[in-house]
Amino acid sequence: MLARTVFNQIFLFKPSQIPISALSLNYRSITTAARLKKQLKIPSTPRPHIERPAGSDELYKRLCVEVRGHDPAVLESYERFVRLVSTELDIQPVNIENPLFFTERWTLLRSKFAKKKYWREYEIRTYYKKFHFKHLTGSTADTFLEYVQRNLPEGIMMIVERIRLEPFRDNLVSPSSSSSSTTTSDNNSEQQENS
Amino acid sequence: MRCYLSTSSILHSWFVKLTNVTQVNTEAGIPKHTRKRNYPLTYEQRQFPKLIGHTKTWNTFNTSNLRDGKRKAEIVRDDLFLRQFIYGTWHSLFASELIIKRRHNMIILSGLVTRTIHPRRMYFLIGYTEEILSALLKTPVKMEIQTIDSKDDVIFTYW
Repeated sequence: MLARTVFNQIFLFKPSQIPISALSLNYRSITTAARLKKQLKIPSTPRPHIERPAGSDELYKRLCVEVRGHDPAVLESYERFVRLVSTELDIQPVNIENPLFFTERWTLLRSKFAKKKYWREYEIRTYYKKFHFKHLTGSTADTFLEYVQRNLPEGIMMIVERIRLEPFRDNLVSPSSSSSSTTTSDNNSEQQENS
Repeated sequence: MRCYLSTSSILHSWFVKLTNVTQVNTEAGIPKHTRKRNYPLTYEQRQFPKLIGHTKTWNTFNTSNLRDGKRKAEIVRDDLFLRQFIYGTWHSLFASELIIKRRHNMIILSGLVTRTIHPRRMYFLIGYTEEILSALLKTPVKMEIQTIDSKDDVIFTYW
C-alpha cells in the first residue's frame, strides 16, 4: 500500500476525491482576518474598551467589501450600483478587484445502479468581487455599509473587512526613553509595576 | 399539475423488471409527446432540466451553496416545507412554481396566482400565510404575488 502522500493523492485519485489541502490549483480567496488568525494563532478576544474623547468618530484606514455570488451578471450590476452610491457619498473606491472564481466539482455516477464506466461532472461556481476604500470615518462607513447592505440582492453574500486606527496606548514606551544599562530583572520589575 | 406519466416503484427490483417503453425510457422532467400533441406546457416546463442556467433559472435564491455558505440543509428543508404548505393552502390557485428569495433573514415568496377566488379571500390568504409562516420559521415572510386571469394564460406550447 503506497503511502498517502500529497503527490500520490494527486496522481492516484480522481480530482474530486483529492482533499482540498493537497490541491492548490486556484488562488483561494481567504479573508485577511482568517489568514492572520491562522498565522498568528490569535484566539478570539473581545474588543478592548478604549476611552475616546466625546464627539470624536472612529477612523478606518481601509474598508474592503467582498461580494460573492453564483451569477457574474448580477455582480456586475451590483458593481454599477455601488459606484453610483460611492459617487453620491463622495467616497471613491480605490480599487475594484475581480478575483478568480472558485468551482466546487462533484463527479457522480450517471446511472442509479452499476454502469461504473459512465459518470457525470457537476460544478458549482462562486464569483467574487472586491471593493476597496481608503481613509473613511466611522459615520461615513456606517452609512455607506447600511445603504449598500439594504440593497443587497438575494443570492449574494457580503463579507466586510475594516482596519480601524487606534490611539497609541500609554504603557507602550519607546526604547530610547528607558536607560541602556537595565538588566532582565529590572525589566521584569518594571513590567510588574506597570501591569 | 396533471400527472400524465404513469410511474411505478417496481421498475428495477430484484423480482420484477418492467419492460414497457412508457415506464422504462423516462428521464426526469422531460414529458413524452402525446399522440394528439395537445398536452399543455408552461414556459418553465418546456425548458427541460439541462437548460437550467441557460434559458431557465432556479426557483430559490439563497447563499447556502456559495463558498463559506451556511445552513445548507435547513434552507432545503424550509424550501420543501414552504412549497407543500403554499400549494396546500392555496388550493390549485398557483399557475407557476413558487419562487423563494432569501434576503438577509427575510423570505419572500412570489408566483403567478389565478383570480378564481374573491379578492377579499385572497387578502386573507396572504395575511394568513405571512403570519403563520413567520411564526413557524421564525423569520419575516412576505408574499409578492402576481395575478392572472386563468391558467390558459401561462400555456406556452402543446406537447
